[in-house]
Amino acid sequence: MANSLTRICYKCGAGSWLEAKLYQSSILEWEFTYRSISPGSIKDGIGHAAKISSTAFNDTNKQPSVNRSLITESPKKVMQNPDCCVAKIKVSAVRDIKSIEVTDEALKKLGHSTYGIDVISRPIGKGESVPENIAHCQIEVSPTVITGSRFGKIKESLAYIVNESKNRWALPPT
Amino acid sequence: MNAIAHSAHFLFRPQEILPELSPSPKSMSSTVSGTYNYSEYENTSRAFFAKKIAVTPLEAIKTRQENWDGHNSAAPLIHSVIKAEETLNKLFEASLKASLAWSQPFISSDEDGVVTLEWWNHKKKVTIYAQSTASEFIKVWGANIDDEMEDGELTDQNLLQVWRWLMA
Repeated sequence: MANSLTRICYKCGAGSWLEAKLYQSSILEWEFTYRSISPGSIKDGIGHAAKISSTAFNDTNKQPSVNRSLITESPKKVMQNPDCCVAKIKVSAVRDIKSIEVTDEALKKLGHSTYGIDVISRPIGKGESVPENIAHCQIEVSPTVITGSRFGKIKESLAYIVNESKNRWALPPT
Repeated sequence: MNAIAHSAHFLFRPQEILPELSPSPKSMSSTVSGTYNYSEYENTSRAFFAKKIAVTPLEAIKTRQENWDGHNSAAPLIHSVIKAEETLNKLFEASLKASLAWSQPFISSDEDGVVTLEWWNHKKKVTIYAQSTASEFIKVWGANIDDEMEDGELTDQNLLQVWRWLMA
């Protein structure tokens, strides 16, 4: 899912006109996103008190996938497996993770001093290896080349944001 | 502080399991001329707890398959599982020697199959990545990556320092 960079055009029939307009627009600060979380990333506990591990944001491309709640029919649609839970993450909180210092020497030589982080709409169109999903977004870092330890800290930050949020579950662990 | 006094801090409470493991200090006293000799008792219990703490949760992680989380994460690497066990043993030993509290880690694995050990203490958190060569740690006390986190290689020298920070 994280590999897809395809944008759907509403003219080719995917989604409603409103949905098309929404995914074409940038994601608003007050919006929420959903993230499917496996029980293997949830610290023991059920209900709203359960905490999530930084591994809840694992992603092989270092661009964790989330879904825009505004155009997601139901949090259940986000679940990767039937036993998964769904966490809510506010877009503004993700964007607040900013000014991450670049430590990579090659990037520094190219003039980058900080990483930027954002939630970017990356809808998945028909005919791809994964189901169509116009609400699909990715938490992306710019410049895109990021070392493992930097990504580790970004995952920690995302997990911290979720754990500190009072209303963190769209579908809590049961 | 002796092993019994320590027991209040353990998740695995020695008084619940130790009678099966070794003679109690009281019965040992009769064999050491009225003087409590805890060394053998402590060594055995330490080894037992360290093993128990390291192995039990790690056994579960060995059965994880690729894509265990639905996000295409790799299955845990066997080298990393071994390293995690070694790191847990060392950390447990160090905390015991320093009379610090112990708590069970939350064990999971990252997208590359590296085993992660995580502990929370209110707003503070420590994550250890059991890399096959050397373990790395991240200390977290807020969401700001540059001002509220610290990372580095976990060595025998700073192991206890990291644990003290978490438990303080």
